[in-house]
Amino acid sequence: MIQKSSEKKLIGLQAIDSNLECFLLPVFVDIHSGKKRSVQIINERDNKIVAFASVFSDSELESDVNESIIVSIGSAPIYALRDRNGSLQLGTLDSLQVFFHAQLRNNSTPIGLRVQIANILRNEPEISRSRSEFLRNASQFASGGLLRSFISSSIRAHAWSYIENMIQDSKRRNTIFNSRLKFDFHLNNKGEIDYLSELNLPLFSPSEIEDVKRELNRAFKDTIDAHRIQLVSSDQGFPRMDKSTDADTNILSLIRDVKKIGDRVKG
Amino acid sequence: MSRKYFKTWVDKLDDPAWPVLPLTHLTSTIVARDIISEGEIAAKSCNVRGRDLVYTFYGRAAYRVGADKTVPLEAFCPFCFVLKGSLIDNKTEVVPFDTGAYAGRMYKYHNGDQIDFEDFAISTDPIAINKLIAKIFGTLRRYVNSDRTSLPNADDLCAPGELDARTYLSLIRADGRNEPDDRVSSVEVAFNGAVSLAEDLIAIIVPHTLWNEHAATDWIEPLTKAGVKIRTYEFIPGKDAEHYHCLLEAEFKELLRDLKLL
Repeated sequence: MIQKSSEKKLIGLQAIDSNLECFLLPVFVDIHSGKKRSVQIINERDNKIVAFASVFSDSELESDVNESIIVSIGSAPIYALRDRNGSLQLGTLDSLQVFFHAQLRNNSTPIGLRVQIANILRNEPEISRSRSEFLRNASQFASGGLLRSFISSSIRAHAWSYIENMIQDSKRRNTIFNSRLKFDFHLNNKGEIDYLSELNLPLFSPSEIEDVKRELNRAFKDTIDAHRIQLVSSDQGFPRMDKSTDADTNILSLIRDVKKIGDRVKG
Repeated sequence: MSRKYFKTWVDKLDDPAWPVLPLTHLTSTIVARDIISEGEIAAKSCNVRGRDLVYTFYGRAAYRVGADKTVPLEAFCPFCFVLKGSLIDNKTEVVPFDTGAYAGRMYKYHNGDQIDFEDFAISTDPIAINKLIAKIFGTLRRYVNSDRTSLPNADDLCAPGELDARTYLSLIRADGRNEPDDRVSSVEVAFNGAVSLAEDLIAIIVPHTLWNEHAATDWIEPLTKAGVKIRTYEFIPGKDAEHYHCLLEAEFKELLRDLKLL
């Protein structure tokens, strides 16, 4: 349930794991009643709180918060990050700028977390660098399929964000966003940024499509070039899921074969 | 006692001889951790059918983790189990839309009270599912993409007296202002018992932060050793729930392309 009114007070934080160095989720209550736990919903366009969503009726929170932090609709959102020493850093994006940049510079910060911080800071060079680093590390133990899935989802997220800013007409923008899965920017098996349109109705002009593709190539070219071999050694040859062959197919051995091919390509 | 007219109509359709698509089971990441720990997707109490069931969708990652549960943290972001389509057998129940949404009267503008969702149950056979998809959507790609722009006219679909087929077409056309989302035409496969991960899990789709520099998160690691494909979507805190769902669904389609199914 979305709550649209009243001031909220931060009471604690929730995390997926009590030991991970990661972002935590700030949990608020109504400032007057002390009830109605909620989390902030952020408007991506202006990075302000746009609503609160009710959650966690009575579950135990990961961390209690002693600081008095009050927010409301239109406020800057609160971020919470637990560092490698287990201490919490809490505040708005502005107040955490220095800390976030220090985390980006620190090589011991987990790569996945660096991708998140760079995106929250909207720091283009750092986004590109951290994504590339994520891929380099992941390529040491994962198949091309995983790498391509990560970079493809990054491409999609970047494309949606770029399109949202590119389209000024709000009605048209909403139409496009309600159909965003029907136009899929992604990395194809050749390691190239590709575009699949599943719509009969053209949502974009040819020049707009070219504009988006140009932007995606600008944002991802270096990362893709640096990892092209791993990115294209993907799930080629993965078995078809026909009923007739499904039960008999030894998927594990095929995956191992694909990995061997990938290793040979890398070697 | 449910009616069998729709099932009979589907059984008589032409078999397109298409491959069997995988099934998806979406849940929040924190629940997924429990599932992996237990090695199976346990059947849970279902208000709609009044018994314990596991719900999956055929060839689509259509289920929405509830809007009040999907929040910008890994724990509550969507997590997708991709299972073999060959799991569909006579212990399952197949209905060509989301029965939860049906029972919740999401489709009330298209169906009256005199026809129950069980009247639309079809044979528990992937061939029957593909027959229906071929007749309604024409191609697997259109079904996977929830592309309802080329649905047949009622008169091209069936005879005037085939009431259930006409009602189903009316349902998935959903031309009204309260148009349901893609769940309206997603084939739901319900299991009457737990679904084991040991033999039938093909892949999982997870937030990227569940990987660290050297390996998967410890509770995912056993799956990678078992050969399960791991796909990720970029998880940046602060996005809206639909953003994560769309990334996951796009990744599922990417997986189908890699499987040469699209």
